Amino acid sequence: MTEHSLWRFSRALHRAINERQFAEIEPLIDEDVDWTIHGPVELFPYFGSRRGKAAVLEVIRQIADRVRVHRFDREQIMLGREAASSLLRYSLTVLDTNKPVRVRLAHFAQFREGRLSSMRILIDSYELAEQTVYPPHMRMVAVSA
Amino acid sequence: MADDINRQRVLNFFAAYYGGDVEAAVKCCAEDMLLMVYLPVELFPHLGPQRGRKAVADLMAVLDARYSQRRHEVPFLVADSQRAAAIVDVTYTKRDDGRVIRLPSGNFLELRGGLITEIRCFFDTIDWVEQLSGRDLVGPLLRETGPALRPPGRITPPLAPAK
Repeated sequence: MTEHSLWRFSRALHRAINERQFAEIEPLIDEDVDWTIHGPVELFPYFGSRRGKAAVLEVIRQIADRVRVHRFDREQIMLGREAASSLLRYSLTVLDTNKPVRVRLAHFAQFREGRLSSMRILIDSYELAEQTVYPPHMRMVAVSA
Repeated sequence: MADDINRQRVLNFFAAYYGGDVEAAVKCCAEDMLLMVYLPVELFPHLGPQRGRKAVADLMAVLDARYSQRRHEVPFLVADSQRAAAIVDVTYTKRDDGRVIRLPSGNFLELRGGLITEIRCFFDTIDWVEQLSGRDLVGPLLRETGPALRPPGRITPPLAPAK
């Protein structure tokens, strides 16, 4: 039984982020990949949409410049023939401050011939901003929505 | 085969839910289904894990009261005999000021006996709060702190205050 593309990609991604080894992930990304991390790009410039392998590799490099992954737990997982989704809980260290951060995200990936062709990531950006950037006096209050 | 059937069940549920058809939406759900919306509890104290078809009906009533139009697209959906995951891009028009809100949501569903037993909805939370409240959360932060998660050794000064 062939290993699902998600597992190969996931291992290579975490190796790229933690060890700055990009050789493993480079062949697993389609030349025309569509990539979006939904979130405030003004706060996190490596969020937003990218098109093409070079742009996506650059985003992964930028993430690797900033954080290390300590652990991640897949709270939900769904594998299709050439698609995969997970709801993940990440424990990270911010390299700039050495601060631990815990954040939840969901990814929706599509693969073509074993290579990543599309990735959309939704991130709990409020939780991330609260731990990395919000000064206590700027914390938000409840909204009636 | 079961994958295709569940895929259609999930599409039917989204069509009923965003189309405002309460009866059809709750018929897709098990009596004891779990509805979990991942939003900060300090901002949305009335949300959180809820059980039962009534939770779906109640949430639909809130949407109906606040939004005059709801449209949805499902650009990603994968399903098997027990589970499904989907991105739903939703467009709401607010009743009170006519503002249009566009939000992607990540959805993880579990199914049993042809019914949805669990729905977990996940969002980009800052975008959600900004669009619902109409408040700019990011601008004041940028002016005070600058971009978050800088690489080590690179100091980016905060942006100058708006004049």
